[in-house]
Amino acid sequence: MKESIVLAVESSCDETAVAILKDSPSEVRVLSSVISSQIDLHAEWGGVVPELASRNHLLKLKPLVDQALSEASITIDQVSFFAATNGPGLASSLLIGSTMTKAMAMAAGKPFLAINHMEGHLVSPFFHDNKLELEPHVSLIISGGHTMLLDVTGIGQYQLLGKTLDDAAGEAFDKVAKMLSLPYPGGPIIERLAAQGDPKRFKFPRSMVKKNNLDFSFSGLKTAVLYELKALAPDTGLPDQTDIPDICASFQQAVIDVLIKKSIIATSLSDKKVLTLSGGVSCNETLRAQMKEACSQSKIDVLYCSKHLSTDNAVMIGLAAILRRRQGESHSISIDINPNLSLTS
Amino acid sequence: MNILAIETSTDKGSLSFFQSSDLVWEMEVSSGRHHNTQVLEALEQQLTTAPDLILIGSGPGNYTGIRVAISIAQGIQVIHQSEVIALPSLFCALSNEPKTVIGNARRGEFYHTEVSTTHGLSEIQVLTEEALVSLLKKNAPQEVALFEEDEKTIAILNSLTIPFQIITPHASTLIHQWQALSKDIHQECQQTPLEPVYLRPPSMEKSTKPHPLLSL
Repeated sequence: MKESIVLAVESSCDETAVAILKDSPSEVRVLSSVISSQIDLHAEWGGVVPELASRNHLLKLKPLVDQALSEASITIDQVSFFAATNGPGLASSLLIGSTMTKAMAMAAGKPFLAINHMEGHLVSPFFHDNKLELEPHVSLIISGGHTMLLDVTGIGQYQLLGKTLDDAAGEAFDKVAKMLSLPYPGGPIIERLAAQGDPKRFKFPRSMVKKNNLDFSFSGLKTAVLYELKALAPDTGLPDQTDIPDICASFQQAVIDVLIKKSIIATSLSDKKVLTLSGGVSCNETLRAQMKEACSQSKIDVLYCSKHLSTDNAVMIGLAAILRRRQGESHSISIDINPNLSLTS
Repeated sequence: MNILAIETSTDKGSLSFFQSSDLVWEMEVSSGRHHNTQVLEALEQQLTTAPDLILIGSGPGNYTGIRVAISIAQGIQVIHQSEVIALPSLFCALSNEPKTVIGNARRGEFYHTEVSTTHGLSEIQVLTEEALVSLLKKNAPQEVALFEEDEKTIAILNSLTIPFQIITPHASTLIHQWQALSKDIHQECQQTPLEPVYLRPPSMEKSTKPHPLLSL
């Protein structure tokens, strides 16, 4: 295998990110990784505003490419191929990263790879100690936009085992945070408050755990929280500050119980011995600890990636691109973005 | 100097490549949503010489088309170190005289500005129909440039019996006008951020109502 360098771009939602990775026979090394987060920009609006995101991607991406090259101490001529997120995501955001990256590939006369954002999350747990080797496994991807379980045989070989039928896990965190007048994004603040609360005080439902399938539903849980808030504070829906940690802890535990139960069932039913967690929600420490314990009891190896690889970033796009490029893949610059891109179709 | 111009602020997009003042090639592209793939495919075929300067028609117009053009230009810039400049497509309306330019700003509003070779573009005003009519009556221009054919705006101009010329922006015109503009205007454009001409801030509303279920 020859040495190669990939310049990867991620712009599917509210993070503009560029990473440069070097793939050599002995290791995969991240030469640089830079991210411009728009969280503060969107926080005021309680969620991502697509037009605002697109305006900012356009202004940030080129300076980030320059910064990534500078931090990697390479020139653009040394890049062997280019990769960008092609979907799923916000069309107006995807378009910026994908188009500029295709233009770089076209002008340099080098290969371009269109990468599925979810595939980036899926491969990230297999990058550790500068090694990248994808193993057959069951993957739980949990983020603000997605919650899914996949049986993975190899790169591009995925079977969907289950997915959310309504809200994604991260979306449920955001919506409950909004009900509690907590800031966006909801995941980190709910986790922080939950650490001071009693997870058993409120009996929130564990949706679809008795059903004989691996799909998820968090909509009922969200509504149950809402009714509890109305019971606690009929006039305002906003409970006393002292109740909020218990609500957060009880809600978080309900989500975690469902994620763990379905992940263990999925892995046990498959012939795989490894379960991976990725996506922004996998940063939750309580989830990580409880999943580790549950997997240990079921003799399943569980893999996470570092937290900076769990949220949206361009390193994961570079990792997926490296795995595909090793198989000789490249895509035409005529390939268009697909906001609804699926991993399994 | 090799100049590439990309004009995609309307559905009828165009690309032109000039060496000094000579046209080397030009191409038409259509469909705003797919400017992304169409422009790249065209450039993959035609762009055999690195451009020193890339001019982007920055509108006002189709944000998606303009962003695609800027992203493509910046990608080429990373590889070839070309200079990239966003030049308002309204300059395609420029003649020797200062000219009033109006167009449909959507959402029931219209925009109004003046362009000239020496002073460039005056502040773009976004006006209601009533305010536009009032302004045109007050200024009584001998002729206006209508930026893109638009029935509503034509009806207003006809009702005021103001002669008009319909302007459709084109990449070759952008290059011609750039070459005719003063150094001061060149410098002003060089300092302008690479983004579309935004007629208004992004449409955003804060959620002031409680969650719908809270009112149950």
